[in-house]
Amino acid sequence: MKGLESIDLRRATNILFRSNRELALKILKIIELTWAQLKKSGYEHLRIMNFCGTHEWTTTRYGLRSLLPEGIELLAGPGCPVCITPSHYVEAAIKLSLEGVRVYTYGDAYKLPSVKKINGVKSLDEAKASGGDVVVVYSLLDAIRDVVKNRVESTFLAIGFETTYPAYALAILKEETPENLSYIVAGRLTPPAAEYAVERVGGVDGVIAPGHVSTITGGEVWINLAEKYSIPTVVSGFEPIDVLLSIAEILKQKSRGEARVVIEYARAVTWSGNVNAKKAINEVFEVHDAAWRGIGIIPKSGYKLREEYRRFDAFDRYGFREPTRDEWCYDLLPGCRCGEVIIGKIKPSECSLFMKKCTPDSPYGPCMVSSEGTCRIHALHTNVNNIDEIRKIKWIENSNHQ
Amino acid sequence: MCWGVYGKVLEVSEKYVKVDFGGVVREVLSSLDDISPGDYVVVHAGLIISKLSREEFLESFKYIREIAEKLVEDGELSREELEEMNRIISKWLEE
Repeated sequence: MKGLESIDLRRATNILFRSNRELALKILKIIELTWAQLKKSGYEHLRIMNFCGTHEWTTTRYGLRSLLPEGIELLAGPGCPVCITPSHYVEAAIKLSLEGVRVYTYGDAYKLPSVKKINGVKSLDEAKASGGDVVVVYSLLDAIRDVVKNRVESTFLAIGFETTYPAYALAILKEETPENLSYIVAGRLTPPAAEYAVERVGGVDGVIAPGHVSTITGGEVWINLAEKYSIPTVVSGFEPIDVLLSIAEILKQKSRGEARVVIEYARAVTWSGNVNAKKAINEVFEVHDAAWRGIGIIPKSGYKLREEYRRFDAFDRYGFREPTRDEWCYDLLPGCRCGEVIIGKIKPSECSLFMKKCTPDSPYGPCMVSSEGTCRIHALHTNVNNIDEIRKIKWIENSNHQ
Repeated sequence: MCWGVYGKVLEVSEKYVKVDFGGVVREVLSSLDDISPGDYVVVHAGLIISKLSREEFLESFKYIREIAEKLVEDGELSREELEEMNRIISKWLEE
């Protein structure tokens, strides 16, 4: 045996957790046997929901649904930060970019459509084509270096969940944020949305909790969900073997009548999480009732800058403001059902626009824009298990009849 | 958006950490203090969010072993199948 210290963990992850057909088949056998036991005790159906676009990507890309026994259903819950970013942030970013303020954005949000057109423009991509100052960056550090170099008035479209927010907090605390850079604070917290989806969708028997969010929050943040709704909750890694192991653990807990939080992704997640990052976020941001796109206001689900750091708030600086509960307007385009897709209430193929008016090349709804959007994932990586759904789509039926 | 990429730490300076992502080297920020060259880290949007634990690397499989052992007790799975699974899990560690 090699010592653990000599192992290349990247390579080991690929070999053990990704390209491991042999082990996948063994885990599937365990899943099948445990499911057979559960069926004997009266279960007919089991619904497991994930809360991370990357888990949905793994599930769909590797065809995991098609491997599972009939009766076990995997649902995609709210796990895509781009998809749930309200339209009013995109509209503010477009407006600023057209008024000469440089807007930095992650690539995922570049094509995110707004509901209202601003000077005939409805995304940052279009704003740039119309002469707006928009720069796509890989990281906040890239943006800060660009601001320092070019000394431009600028703002950062700061979307993201708990995973992304430590960067903004640390950049402010460590005085790395130049005074001419502000943030459009669009950050959201995952557990409140998870609880919202579990309540709205109903009948969720197990939860695959987001691994990278949990590197920050720790596994402990999911205790409330597991206990309040009696749902086995497994913090999972993102390789196919991780997801299969998590499903096996959920079935095991079901068979024993348990509902606990377990960390499958133990190589990266601890029980208490990233203490430094959590402290930084708490110092810089407070939590408020915040809007989610196509859903509405979810209590205590968004970040906003604390008073002492409000000078970095783009909304304060440029005179925008957050909608109140009464002012919030449904912010999806007509016909778009992303609000229901986001919380796992419907599958993308149940939306009449999917792969017709709304495609990866020409996204109409926010879930078709980001690589973590459920619609985009299903559009690009549909597997054999989705064939029946795909057949429901009219243009394929029509082409078959011709 | 919550993609995390595994990388190996090459250098740690006061402000930045140089990380090798399988041949592509980039400077990133860190949210952790105890980062040293040789560590494997998870990087999200230019920030180190977690250090991969060698000790916990195989922890994931404890569930599967537990379930498998219970199924052996119940007579649903043979002892040989359980051993074969253990062999698969530890195969990559063998010289």
